[in-house]
Amino acid sequence: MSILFVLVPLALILATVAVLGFIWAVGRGEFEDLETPAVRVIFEDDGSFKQDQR
Amino acid sequence: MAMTEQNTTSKRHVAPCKCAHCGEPVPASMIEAGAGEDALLFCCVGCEAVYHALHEAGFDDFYRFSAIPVGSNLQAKPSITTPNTIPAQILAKEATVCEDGSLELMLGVDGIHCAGCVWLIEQMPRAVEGVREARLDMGRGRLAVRWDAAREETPDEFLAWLGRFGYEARPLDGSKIQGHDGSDRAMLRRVGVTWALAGNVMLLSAAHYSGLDLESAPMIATASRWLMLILTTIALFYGADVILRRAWAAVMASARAALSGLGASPLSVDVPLALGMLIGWASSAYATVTGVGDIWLDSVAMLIAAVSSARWVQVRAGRAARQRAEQLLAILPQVARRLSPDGQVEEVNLDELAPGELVEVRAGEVCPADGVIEYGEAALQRGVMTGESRLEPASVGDDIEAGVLAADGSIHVRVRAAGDATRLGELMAWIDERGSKRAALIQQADRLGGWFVLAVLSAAALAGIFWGVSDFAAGVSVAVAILVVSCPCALGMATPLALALATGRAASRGIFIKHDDTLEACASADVVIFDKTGTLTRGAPRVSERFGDEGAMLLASALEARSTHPIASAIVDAFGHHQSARVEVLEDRPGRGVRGMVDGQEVLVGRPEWVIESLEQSPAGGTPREDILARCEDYKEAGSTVVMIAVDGDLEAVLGLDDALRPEAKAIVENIRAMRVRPMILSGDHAGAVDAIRVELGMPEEDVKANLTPEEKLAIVDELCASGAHVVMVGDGVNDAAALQRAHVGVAMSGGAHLALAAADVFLTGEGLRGVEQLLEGSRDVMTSVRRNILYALGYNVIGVTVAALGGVTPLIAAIAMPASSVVLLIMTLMHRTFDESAPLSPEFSSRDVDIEHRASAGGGASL
Repeated sequence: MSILFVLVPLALILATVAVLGFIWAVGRGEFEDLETPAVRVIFEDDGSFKQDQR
Repeated sequence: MAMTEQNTTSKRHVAPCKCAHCGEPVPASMIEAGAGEDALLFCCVGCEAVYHALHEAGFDDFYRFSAIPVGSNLQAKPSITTPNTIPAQILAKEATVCEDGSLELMLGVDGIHCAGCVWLIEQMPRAVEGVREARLDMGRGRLAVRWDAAREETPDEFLAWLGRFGYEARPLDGSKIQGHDGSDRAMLRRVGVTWALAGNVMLLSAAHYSGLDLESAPMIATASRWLMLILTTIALFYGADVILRRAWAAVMASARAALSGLGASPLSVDVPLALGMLIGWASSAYATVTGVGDIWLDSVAMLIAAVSSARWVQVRAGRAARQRAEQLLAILPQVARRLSPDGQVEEVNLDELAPGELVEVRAGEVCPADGVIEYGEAALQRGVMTGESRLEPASVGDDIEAGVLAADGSIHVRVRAAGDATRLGELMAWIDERGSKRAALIQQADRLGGWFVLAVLSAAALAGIFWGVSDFAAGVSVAVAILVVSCPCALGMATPLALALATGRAASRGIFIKHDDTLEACASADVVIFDKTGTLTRGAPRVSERFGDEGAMLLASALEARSTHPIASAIVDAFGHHQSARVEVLEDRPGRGVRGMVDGQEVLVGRPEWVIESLEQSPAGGTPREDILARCEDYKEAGSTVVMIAVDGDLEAVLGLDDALRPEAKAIVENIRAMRVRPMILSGDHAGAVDAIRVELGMPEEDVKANLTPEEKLAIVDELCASGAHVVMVGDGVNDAAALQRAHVGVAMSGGAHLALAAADVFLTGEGLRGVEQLLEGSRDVMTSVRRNILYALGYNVIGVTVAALGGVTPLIAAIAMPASSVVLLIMTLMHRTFDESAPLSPEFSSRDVDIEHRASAGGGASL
């Protein structure tokens, strides 16, 4: 059971990393615009529209 | 190409016309512009450009992607309203310098309709020299442009580039953007962090619920209790500090009120929330330190996370609507070009401008002050005030107001009023002055919270004393259980959550609601007041009366097909297109009429005075026909706009034009009446025109008033409000702004004056009146959902408190019951689909969906 003294803090450290990642993303404004990126996926990198590959 | 044919044929059968690119209804102005060229119609210039670009590049498959719903933006306006330069001061103030030395500026962009617009605008770096990156946020209509600081002409070039496609762009005032101070982001950070903390606390407490206790494993149990305490403490003081502070403020305010003898002021919902959190935390902290008693930390942490999420959802819901209104008002330039008496030009800040001074307004600039034109002439665009995108010529001696755009030509304006004294300034001050109007509704919600606190506190005290008499520890435990379990999580979230969700859904239907309590006010509406022009009517004329020679009318139509004036398009609409005719326009006098040759005959179409005057001067010297002149007088009396037609020097026909009622107006008025709401019309128009509308709509005479000044409209609204009625006002012009503001709910129509949009609580971006009906229906619907939520929350609390008072609530039960109650509430709210897309729609909308399918199969070819 004493393994918990290692595992629980380890879990917390992992969670902290995730939270720090989230804070960083919020700071970069990643959650400001939730609409446009969904549209942008249909554009190709060369600026044209992606044609359906089916 | 098969697709082109499909569009052409479907276009003729479907009315109103759909954009060949995005499927949105085509605004009248674009029909005029596009009618002559080819059979495809577009809702905006961007769509047209993209359509052709796609077509030429062989990307017709795009039309399978364009089913992506957008429609969260205002109608596209012609590009002439875009200022064509960004003053250096604004660049210096608003542009930020990036790491690589390039400059970045945030622009507000109007006229974004569909995915194609995003694509087109983001092509900017390829099209405009110096631009490194352009990123569009289509929900909020915001464009971030980054460009090479070394190229000074780039900003003007990209403005012009956007203008060419019909996008109206202007730099945003950073200080006026909501969340520019990072408050939005701080709120979101809080949501994320509190959920992470709550999750971990929950996991740890799960161990306790499944058998970990201080006797069997003292070390681990103590450590995990301490860990939970630490995590919850962070959640409490970082995540809930806003709630704690607001609750403290509310307690202090009501204590002050009680001490000064004003009677108890109601406590807000924040108080029981804070109380529950603090007491749950404090008693658990005590239990952790002493090793005796129950801990409630998981409940507390969950509560904090749930409440911060609810707050965030609430703030986010009305954001888009408020920001769009604010962007529209970012019209006034911040600098003016002052001309000193010796002819020197100096750029001054707007607030340094004084009456009597002379300012220069160059082509493409917005006039900074009210005044009179002293030099030069220009075509003015008064859209800010009137919503009218047409240009009117103005020259020396004409009045000009702040906010009016000089589309071409440079003018000198003698300032009559500057700053807040301008008409625009006064109206904007008016709009800022809200607040007192809202207080009543907010208090009502808070009063419920106040009663709730009292009830819970007395229940906790009574139960605590009852149990405490025999066993002090049990008494404390029961009192804590009541306070923790009764946390008004559900009560606090019920109303805001339902309203916020409905606000978001309404926005996707083109109904923008600025404040979520507006829905509450709409639901209790008793009277709906309509403005006439541009609201009940299209705001565009239609030929309603005709007299004289039909052949002459056809000739007139052929001639007018060359003009884009609204009256010309009304005539073309009425008599059709005659492309076979050989037409030569000899003279086109704006505001008077047109003279030209049609198939060898000289045709005059225009205002009666001008036509008669021209006939008198002409060598043929035709005789005015008495019957036509008599009709002309009749039409004028009925309130119509009169147009005369002369052929080869003889007066042949006369037309009366009226502003046509929107096709859906009658049905909407009837539906509103069926909702037991009284429709009324307040119009500034003359009685004849208004009465015709009244008869058509079948409304009683006392509900329709004509010839009103804005002040009289305001007085009537005030009177109705004072009589206790809940008034919804629907309008579109600046003359409605004050009344929109004063009514309980102001609704601004699409295409209206920017100021009306700013003054209104709700604005509609779809064409037509359907949105008004949807708003009333939706608001009633959402209020039933709210009432059900509150009932449910109260029911949960009654049961919870009763069980707790009987000693039946353990930390485990609280930990299950509290999140469960919130989840049930959430599900109930989500299931109640107010403003739902799948609800019965107007034929326009449903036919649009079919159309997209249709286009996809036509354009996509074999792959579908």
